[in-house]
Amino acid sequence: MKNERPTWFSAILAIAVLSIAAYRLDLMLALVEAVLIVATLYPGWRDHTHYVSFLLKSSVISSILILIAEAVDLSGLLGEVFYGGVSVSWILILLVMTGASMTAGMMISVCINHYTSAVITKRWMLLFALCFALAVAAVYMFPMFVDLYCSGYPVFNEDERLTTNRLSDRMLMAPVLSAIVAALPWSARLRQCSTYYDRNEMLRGGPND
Amino acid sequence: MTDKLQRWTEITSAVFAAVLLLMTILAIPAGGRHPYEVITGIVCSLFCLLPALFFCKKIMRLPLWFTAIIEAAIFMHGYGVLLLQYDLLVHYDTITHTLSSFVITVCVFFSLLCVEHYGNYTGLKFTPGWTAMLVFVIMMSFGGYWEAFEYVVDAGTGTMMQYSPFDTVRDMLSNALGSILASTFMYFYLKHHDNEAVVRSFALCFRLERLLTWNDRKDNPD
Repeated sequence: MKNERPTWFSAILAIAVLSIAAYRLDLMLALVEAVLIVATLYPGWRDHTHYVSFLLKSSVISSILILIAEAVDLSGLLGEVFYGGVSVSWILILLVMTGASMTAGMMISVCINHYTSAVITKRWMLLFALCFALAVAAVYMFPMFVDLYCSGYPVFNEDERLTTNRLSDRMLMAPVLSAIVAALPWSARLRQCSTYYDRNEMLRGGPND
Repeated sequence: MTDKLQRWTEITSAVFAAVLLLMTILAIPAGGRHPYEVITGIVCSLFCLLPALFFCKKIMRLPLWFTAIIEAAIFMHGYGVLLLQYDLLVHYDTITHTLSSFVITVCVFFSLLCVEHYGNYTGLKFTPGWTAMLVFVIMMSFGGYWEAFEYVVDAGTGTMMQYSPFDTVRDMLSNALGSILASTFMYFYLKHHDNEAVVRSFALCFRLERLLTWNDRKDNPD
C-alpha cells in the first residue's frame, strides 16, 4: 500500500519525540506529538488511506529536527549560550516544535476535508495549520506561567523586581515569538509543496484507489 | 419586520451612545481626568452609533442580539475608563476582555459565513463544527500576535504595555474563555440556522459583496 511505510516511520519518530518530551516533562511538546501521532495514523485506521509524501516528509523532518534539538539540549553543547537571558537550545526546540504543530494542523484539516461534509481549499487548510501552530504557542503560555511562578520568577504587577529585570516576560513570550518566526518559512514551504496536489488527493490509497 | 429591527437598532445605539457621552461630559468638571479618559469616552460613544449608521446607510444589518452585545462591550470599556472601574473593581479587566473577545469571535464567525457564501467558485463549505474550531484557533493566534506586538513595542520603546507575565496570561485566558464561549454558542446557533439565511439577513451593500467575491474572478480556485 502506497506510503504505508513512511506513515509508520513518521509515527515511530513522533513516538520517540513524545517519549523524550514526557521524560523531560515538556507537556506542550508531548501534547503536540500526541496530536501528530493520532493525525498521522487516523486515515490508515479509518479506511486504509495515507497522506501524500510532502505531508509525511514534513512530519518526519520536524520530528528529526526536534530530536536533534533535544540532543543538543541534553548534551549541554549550548548549555552556556543565552539570548537575552533565555537558553538558545530551548529556543531551538521551540522553533522546530512549530513545524510539528503546523504539520499536525495541516493533517487535521485534510482529514476534515476528507471525512466530513466540509469543503476546505488548500489555502484554508494552510491558514488553519498556521493558526493552529500559533494557538499551540499561545496555550504554551499557561504552563509556562505556572513554571515561572513555581520557580520564583517575578510574575505579578506588584513585584518590584519587574522594573529592572524583565527576564520572566522574555521567557513567557519565547514560545509565541518562536512560532511566529518559524511558521513563516514552514508555511511557505508547505504551500509550495501542496500546489502539485488537488485538495481531494491529499489522502491516497484505500479500497477505492 | 425590517422597520422594527431598524428602530430597535437605532434606539439601542442611541441610548448607549447618549449615556456614554453624558458620562464623559460629567467627568470633565470632576477634575483629575487624564485626556486619554475623556477621548476614550467620546470615541466609545461614537463607536456605539456604528450599528445604527450601518443600518441607515444600507451597508449591513446586524442581528439585534449582536448589536446589544457590541454596545454592552463598548459601554463597559468606556464606563470602566471614565469611572476608573478598571482600577477600583477586582476582575473588571477580565470581564471586559472576555466580553470583547466574545464580540470579536462572533464577528470572525459572521465574516467566515460571508466568505463561504460569496466564494461560490471555490466550492467552499463550512460546517458548524469546522467553523467553530477554525474560529477558535484564529482567535488564539490573534491573541498570540497581539501579545507579541505588545512585547516588541515594550522592548523597542520602553513602554509597559504588558505590565507583567500575570497580566499577559490573564489577557490570554480572557481571550480563550471568550472565544470558547462564542464558538460554542455559534456552533449551536448554526445548528439551528441556515448559513445562507444568516448571510442574507445581513443585507450587505454591493461594494462589500464585490469585495467578498474577488476570488471568483481568479482562474485558480485553490
